[in-house]
Amino acid sequence: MQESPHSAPRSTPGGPGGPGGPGGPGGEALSRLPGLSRLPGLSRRVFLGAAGGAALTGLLAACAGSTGGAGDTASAGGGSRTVPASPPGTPKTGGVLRAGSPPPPTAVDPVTMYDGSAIAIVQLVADYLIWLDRDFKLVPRLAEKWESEEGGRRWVFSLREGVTFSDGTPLDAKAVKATFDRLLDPKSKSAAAAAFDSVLAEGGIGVRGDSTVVFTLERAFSDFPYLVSAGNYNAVILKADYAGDFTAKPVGTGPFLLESYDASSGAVFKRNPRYWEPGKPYLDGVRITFYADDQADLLALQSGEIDTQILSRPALVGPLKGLGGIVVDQVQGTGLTAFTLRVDQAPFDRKEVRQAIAYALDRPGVNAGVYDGIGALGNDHLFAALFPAAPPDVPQRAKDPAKVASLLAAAGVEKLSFALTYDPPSKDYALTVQDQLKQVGIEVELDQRTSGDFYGGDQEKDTPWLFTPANLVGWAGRAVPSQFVIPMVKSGGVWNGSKYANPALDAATDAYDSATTDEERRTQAAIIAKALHEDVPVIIAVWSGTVRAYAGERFTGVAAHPSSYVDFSSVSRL
Amino acid sequence: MRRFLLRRLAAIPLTLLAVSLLVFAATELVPGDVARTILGREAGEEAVARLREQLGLDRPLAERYTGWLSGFFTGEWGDSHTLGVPVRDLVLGRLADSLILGGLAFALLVPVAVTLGLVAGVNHDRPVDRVISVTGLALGAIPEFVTGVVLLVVFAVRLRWFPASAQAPDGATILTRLGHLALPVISLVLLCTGYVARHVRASTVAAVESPYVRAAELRGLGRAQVVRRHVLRNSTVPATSALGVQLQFLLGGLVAVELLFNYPGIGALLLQSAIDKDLPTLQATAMVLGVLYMSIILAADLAYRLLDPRVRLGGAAA
Amino acid sequence: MSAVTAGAGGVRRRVAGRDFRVALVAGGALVLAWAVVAAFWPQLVPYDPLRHDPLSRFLPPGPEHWLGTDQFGRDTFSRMLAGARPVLQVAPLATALAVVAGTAVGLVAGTFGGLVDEIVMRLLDAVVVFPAIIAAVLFVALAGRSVTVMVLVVAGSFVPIVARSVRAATLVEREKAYVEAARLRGERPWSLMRREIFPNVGTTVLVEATSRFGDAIFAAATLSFLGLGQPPGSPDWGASVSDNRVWLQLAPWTILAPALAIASLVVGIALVADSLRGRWEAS
Repeated sequence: MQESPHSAPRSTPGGPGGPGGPGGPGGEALSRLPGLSRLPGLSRRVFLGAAGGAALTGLLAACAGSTGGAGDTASAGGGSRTVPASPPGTPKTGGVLRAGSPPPPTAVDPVTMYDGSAIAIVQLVADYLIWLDRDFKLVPRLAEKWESEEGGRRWVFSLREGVTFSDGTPLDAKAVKATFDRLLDPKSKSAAAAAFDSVLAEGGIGVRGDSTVVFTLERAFSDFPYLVSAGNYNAVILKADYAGDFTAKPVGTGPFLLESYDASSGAVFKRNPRYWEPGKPYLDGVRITFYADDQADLLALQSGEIDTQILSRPALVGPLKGLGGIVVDQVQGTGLTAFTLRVDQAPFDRKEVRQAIAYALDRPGVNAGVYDGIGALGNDHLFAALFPAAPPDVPQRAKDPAKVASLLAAAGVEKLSFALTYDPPSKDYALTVQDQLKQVGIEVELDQRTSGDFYGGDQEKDTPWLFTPANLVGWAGRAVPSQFVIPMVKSGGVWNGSKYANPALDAATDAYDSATTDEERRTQAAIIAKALHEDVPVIIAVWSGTVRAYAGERFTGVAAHPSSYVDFSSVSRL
Repeated sequence: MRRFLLRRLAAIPLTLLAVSLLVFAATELVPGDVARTILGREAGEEAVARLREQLGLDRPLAERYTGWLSGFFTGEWGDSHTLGVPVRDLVLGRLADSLILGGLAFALLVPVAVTLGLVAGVNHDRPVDRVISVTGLALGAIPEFVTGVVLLVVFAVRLRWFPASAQAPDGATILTRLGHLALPVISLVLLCTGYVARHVRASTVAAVESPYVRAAELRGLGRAQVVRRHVLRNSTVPATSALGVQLQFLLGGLVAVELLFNYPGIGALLLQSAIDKDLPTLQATAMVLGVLYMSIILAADLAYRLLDPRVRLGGAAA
Repeated sequence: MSAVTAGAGGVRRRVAGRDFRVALVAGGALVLAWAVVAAFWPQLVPYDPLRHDPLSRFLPPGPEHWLGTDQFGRDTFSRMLAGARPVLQVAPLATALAVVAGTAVGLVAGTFGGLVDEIVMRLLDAVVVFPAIIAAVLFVALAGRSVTVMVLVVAGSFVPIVARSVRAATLVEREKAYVEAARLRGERPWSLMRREIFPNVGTTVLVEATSRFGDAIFAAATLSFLGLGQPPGSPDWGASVSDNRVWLQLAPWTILAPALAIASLVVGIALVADSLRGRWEAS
C-alpha cells in the first residue's frame, strides 16, 4: 500500500479509475479541496464550489450517464457502500482517528457553510438523503428510494425506517421537509437556495405520512436527486427545530456525535451508538485538530501527531508518499482552475490573443508542477473526460510557440503583457503560468489578493473574481457539466467572469438540458465544447484530482473524494 | 513621582482611543467584505445584503464606531463576526495562551542570559567570553522561524522526541503541556539570549573595570565575593531595559512561531482578524495588546527614572 | 575613558583592539560580499532565479545545480543570490527613514520638554501600540506587495524606538553645564537643539542606526515569512523559508540556503555594528 516517494500516480483501489480523469478541487494549489484558501500565504481555508450553483438552476442537465442508476427511479437496498479498500476480513473496532484540517473561517452552520473543514465536521455528525460517491454515483442514505411522477415534475422520496437523531427523536418526513424549507427561506441566507432556482420553490415540499417526502417542482427536472444529495452540501437533514447553533446543539443522524468544539483548536467526536447502519462506525471516535497553516498540518502528519488530513493538497503530499508510512489515496475528479479572460476588453477581445495564450501553456508542465502529476490534461472546454457526454474528437491543444507568434501577429499585438488576478490558493498555478508565458515573450504581472478582497465586492458590478481582465478561480469538482457551463459561460451566467456571450452556445446549452437521449446530449455537448475550444473565454489546462494522505500503517478505509467529503464510518484500525 | 505616574496612567485610555480609531479606519480601508467571507462566494447578493444588515455593517461609520466604543468600555465586547463566539472569551483565551508561551520563554531566558552575560563579562576577552559572545551573536542572527523549522524537523519529525504542535490536547497533564511547548520556547530563547547576554556582558565589563571594583580587589576581596557584592547588581540592572524589549516581543510578536507550531495565540488571531475584517475581534485584540504594551513601557520608564538620578532630576519638569 | 594604565589591563586592551579589527574585517567582508551580490546578481547567477523546470524538481545539490532545485525546478543557488537585493534595499532604506524621523522627534521632545514632550511621547506610544501587522495587512491590501510597503512598515515600527533613545540622551545632555550655559546666554531652544545637543547625541544616533539595521533585516524576513513581503514568486529569503519548510525533510537545501543567507548577513552586520559601537562608546 505504500508508495515510494516519487512514484507515478497510482490508481486507487476500487476507484473509478478511468484513465484520464480529472480532478477535484478547485484551487490551484488547491487548497485542500475544493477550495480556495484565503489568507495571504497563510491559510488555506477552502471553499467548496457548491454543487448547486446558483445558476445552476435548472440545469443540471445531466449527463445522467455518469450517475448510473440515478435517473428516474433509483432504489437501493441497504445502501451503504462507500469507501473502497475495505480491509479483508472483519474490521477491527475501536480507536480514535486523529485528523488535521484548517480551522473553519466562520462559525460552523450547515445551512451556510461552504468551506471544506466545516463541511467535514457536519458530515461526520449529520447525513444526507443521498450520498454522492467518489465516482459521482448517488448512494441512498436517509432516503431508501426515490422515484419521479408526472414526467419528472414530482419526486417522491421514501425515508429509511428506524433512523433516529442523536437525541433520540425519530427521523420523519417533517424533519426533511423542514430542512428543505429552511434552505429555501431567504432569511436563512443559504447559497443552496440558488441551486433550486426555477426548479423548486418555497412551498414545493410536502409529506405523505411519516416517511414519505414529496417535492413538487416548477418544471420537469430529471437530475433533481442531485440537488438533494450531498452534491448540494448544505442539504444535510437536521431537526425541524434547528436554530443555527450547530456546534452548541449538534444533533444529526450521522455516524459520530460532536462532543466538543473550539473554534481555535478543534473538535472531538465519539461514536454514535444510534447510527442506523449496523456495526458502524468501527471507530470509537474522531478528533479533528485545526492547523491554521497547512505546512503545520503536514508536519503534524509527518510527525505522527495526526493520522490523516481532511484536505490534502496534491503538490504538498505527493512528494511525501511513503515517507514515514504516509499513504496518499487519490481519485479522479472534475475540479479545475479556470483561467478566465475578459472577452469584452482589450487585449482579450481578440480571439487570436486568447488562443495565443492557450497555445503558450505547457499543460503537462502545469500538471506536474501544480498537481504533482495526478490531474488530466484540459482542452479549454468544460467537458472533462469523466463526463460521459465529453466529445472525443476535439484535438488536444498543446504548447506551440510558432502558433503563438503567428496568432499574436494576426491580432496585431506586438508585445503582450497583462495582470493576472488571483487569491492565495491559486498561487502555484499563477507562478507556473507566469513562467510559461514568459518563455514565449508574454509578460504576466501577478496581482495576488486576499480571498476576502478577491471574492468581495458586488457580483453584479465590481467583484474582482468576475470583473478583472484575467484571473484564476478554483472550482470544486461537479457531477454534471451543466453545473459549469451554465454559470460560467452562458450569456449572463451568474459567474460568467469572461463576459462571453454566444447565442449558439446558449441554444446548445438549453438543448443539452432538455435532451432526452444520450445521443442528442452528445451532439449538443460537441457544439458547446467546440465553441469554447475555439473562442477560449476560459482556459482549462488541467482537470485536477484530489488526494487524501493518511498513516497507512495505522488505519485503513480512509479515502479521497472528488469533493474532499469525509465518510469515516468505514475507517478502521489495522 | 506620583504626579508622573498619574499622568501616565491617565494617558492610557487616550492612547487606546487613538489606537481604536486607527484600527477602525484601517479596517474600513482594507478591501473585502466580512459578510461575503461568512457566506462564501456562491451566496446571492440578497443574502449578503441581509447579513450586512444583521451585522450592522450598513450603518454610518460614526454610528458604528461609537456603538462599538460604548460597548467596549461597558464590557460588551460583542461576538466575532466570522466565528460567532463571544469576543471576550476568544481574545482573553488566546491572550492567556500567549502569556503562557511568552512567560515560559521569558522565565527561561532571564537566568540563562544573565548567567551567560555575567560569565562572559567577568572573563571578558578570554576564550570563554568569545565562545559565548560569538554563539549568542550567531543564534540571535537566525530568525526564530528558521530555528523553529530546524527544531521541528529534527526533534518532532525525525526523532519524534517532542510533538510538532505546541497545543496540547484537552486534559493533558502539566508535563505533557510542557513537552508541547518545549520546541517553540527553545527557539524563542535561542533567539533572545544573545541580545540580553550582550547587554549584561557590557555592563559587567564596565562594572569590573570600575574604580570601586578595582579598589575592592585591591582590598583583597576574593573574586567570587567581588562579583557577588559589586558586579552582579550593577550589571544586571541596566539589562532590565533589554529584557523589557524582549518581553514586549515575546508577548505579541510571536505570529511566526504561533503559525509554525500551530499555537492558537493572540498574534495569529490579530493577523487573521485583520485579514478577515472581523472588526470586533480585531479591535479587542488590539486593545488588549495595547494595554499590555503600555504597561511594559510604563514599567520601563519608571525603572529608568528610579535608576538614573539625572533623569529623575531633569525629567521631573518634562 | 577609564583610567586603566597598568599591567593586565593594558594587555587586555591590546587584545581587544586586535579582536576589534578581526570582527570588523570579518563582518565587513560578509556585508560587503552580500552588497556586491545584491548589486550584481544578474551577472553572477548560473540560472534565471524565476525560471521553472518541471523536469528538474527537487534535485539535490550537484554539479548542475550547486544548491539543488526547489518544487518548481528553480535553481536554489540563483534564488539565494537574487534574494540579497530586496533585503538590502529594504533594510537600509527603512533604517535611514526610521533614524532620521526618530532622531528629529526625540530631539524635539527632549529639548522642548513639557507639554510638547508629553504629547509627542504619547503619540509615539499610540504608534508602538498600533500593531505593525495591521499596518502591513492594510498597506499590502491597498498598494500590493513591494519594497516600498516593506520600508514603510518596518520604518514605522522603528521610529518610536529610535525616538525614545534619542529623547533619553537629549534629557541627559540638557542637564549638563554647557547646555545650561548656552541657555543662560539666551540661545533659543531650536538653535540649542541644533548646535549644542544634537552633536552630543550623535553617538546614540549611530548606535541606534547600527542596531536598527540588523533588526530591519530581521523584520523584513519576518514580513516575507508571513506572506506580507515581496510579490509572490520573488526570490525572497523569508518567503523561501516559509514556502519550502514543509519539504525540509525531502529537500533540506531549499530552506537551508535562504536561512544561512539571512543568518550570515545579520551576523556580518552585528559584527560590524558591535565593533563600531565599542569604538564610539569608548571615545
